[in-house]
Amino acid sequence: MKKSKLTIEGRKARNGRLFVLPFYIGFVFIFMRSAYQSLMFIFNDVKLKPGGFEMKFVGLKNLKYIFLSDPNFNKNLVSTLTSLLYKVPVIIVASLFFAILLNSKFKGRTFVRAIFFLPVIIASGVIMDIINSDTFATSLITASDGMETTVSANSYGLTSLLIDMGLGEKIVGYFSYISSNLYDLMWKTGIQMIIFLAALQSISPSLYEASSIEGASAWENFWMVTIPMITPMILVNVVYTIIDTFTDSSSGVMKQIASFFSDQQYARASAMSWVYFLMIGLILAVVLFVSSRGINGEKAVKK
Amino acid sequence: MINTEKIAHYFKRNTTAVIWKIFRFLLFVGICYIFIFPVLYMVSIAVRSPETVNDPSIVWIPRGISFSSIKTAIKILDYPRSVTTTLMISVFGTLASLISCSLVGYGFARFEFKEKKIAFALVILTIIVPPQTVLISSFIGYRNFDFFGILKLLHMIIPSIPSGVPLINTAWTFIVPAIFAVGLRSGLFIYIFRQFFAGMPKDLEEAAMIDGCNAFRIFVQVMLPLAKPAIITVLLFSFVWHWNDYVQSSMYFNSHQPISVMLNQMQSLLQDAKLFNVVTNTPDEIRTFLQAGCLLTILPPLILYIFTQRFFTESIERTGIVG
Repeated sequence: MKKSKLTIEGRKARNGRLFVLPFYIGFVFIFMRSAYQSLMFIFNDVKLKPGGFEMKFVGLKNLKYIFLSDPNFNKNLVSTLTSLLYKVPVIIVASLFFAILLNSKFKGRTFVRAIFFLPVIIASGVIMDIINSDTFATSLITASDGMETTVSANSYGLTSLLIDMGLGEKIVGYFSYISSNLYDLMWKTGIQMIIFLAALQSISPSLYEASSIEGASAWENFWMVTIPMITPMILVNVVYTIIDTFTDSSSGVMKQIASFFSDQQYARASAMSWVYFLMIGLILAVVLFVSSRGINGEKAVKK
Repeated sequence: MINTEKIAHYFKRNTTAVIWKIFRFLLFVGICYIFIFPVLYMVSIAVRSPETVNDPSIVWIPRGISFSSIKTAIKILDYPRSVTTTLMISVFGTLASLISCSLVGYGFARFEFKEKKIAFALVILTIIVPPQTVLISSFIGYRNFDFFGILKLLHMIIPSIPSGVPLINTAWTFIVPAIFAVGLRSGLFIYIFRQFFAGMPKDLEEAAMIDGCNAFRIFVQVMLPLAKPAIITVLLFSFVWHWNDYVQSSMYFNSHQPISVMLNQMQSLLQDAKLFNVVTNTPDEIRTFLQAGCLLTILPPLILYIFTQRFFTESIERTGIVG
């Protein structure tokens, strides 16, 4: 028999590869094939023709253009990077908070949950653009924003007060950014919230029962049971939020890429996208590396 | 330690509980208003007669309901046909994603093999690279899809076999990559499944293995039933993202387009219809038609959510076995 030749580890490795096989095929034959071609675009001039496309080798011209001649690329990149520092913590904390609220029992929970799912449907489609281009709708939003301008006028006084009180300028700036972008940030929490909700659902109630019998308070339950149980999903959400912030169609670089595409400047578009995705990849690599060390460290402490 | 006890004491007090409830209620009302605003607006505009759109005395509640805008939107969007196309994409794309991504995610969560870390980095890579980057090359690939070279090879041996099948304008442009776990945001779904399976206790699988189950049966009969929250999450996301996809479908479909593409070009479609005197439309009317179109577009995924979201609540009682 063939099976008996393999050790248990060997068989496990073979089974693992069998489970992952669909991805291997897809990656090599679908993803890599397209990605390779688009990588080649970087070093060529590309023209779309009825039968396919025509490429002419130009070397590093496209890359040079992006870094040296393009007036907006570097600026847009920096602004996306700084917005990351604001967005990721706020979105993670807010979505976890809402997920916990939605997971508790109250009247009308079905209704509230249905509404909290709306951002997933509306914000990821064409619909948001149509609504934003409708002047009457935006006037209604700004009508409620009228209140917001007075608030932000107040918050200007508040910021100077807080700075006078000796809080760091950066910390104060951070909070005033959050309060003035609350509306946008709220729309971005939908997906993370549902991922958290699923994670919370999978925590066994018996864990809470056990810890309550041991005398843990709700606060202790949160830190000792909930957070450790959902740590894997916190990581998913951090990674997703970073990717979503970068690849959001409203971010500066993505707008540039899209406009290159619609001008049929495919070479510049793919050069810019690959440089951009290399940056995201680097950031994610750092995040995943740090988090894997952190999580392992925690386990070591527990043992 | 004293600190946490104090907080616990506070929380046990009745007054704080009442204040907390009021706070939660106000928070929900505020946030629900933000989220429900666009939908209320769509409904309010879509059901009023076009003449009264700019009536300043009407803010939310229209005087007299008219379904003429919705009827026009159905006609312009070619609603029954475009919904069928989109349903094909969403339903089968989602099913294929669910099967492939849960398998791959389980493979990453529970088995050790040499290249695992690199392979998982590649999964993340597929999420980072947005579809726009590889769109043109995939479009050319699907125009004459040769099943990864197999058909091409067969064609060289037996010329009567075609060298490729055109997949453009069919839902297969979404289903084929989904089967091989590189479809619409498949990387994220693999990641969700991996993290989910990794967090489950191993006892059950070990017990099943001792009973002589093979790895695939353990996956189907032991792990999948426990992964219900993850399955529902992926199902919802995948369905909605396939439903709303505009970037890829606008490239892959030049006739029989799905609903998001139709909605995006609705304004120019209305202009065309005006040329042929199908409808007469003023800017005000166009606005009501557009809002009616938006409403029609979000309706199917919203209905799906309302039906599936109860599984989120049900699964609490069922996952008692974990832990």
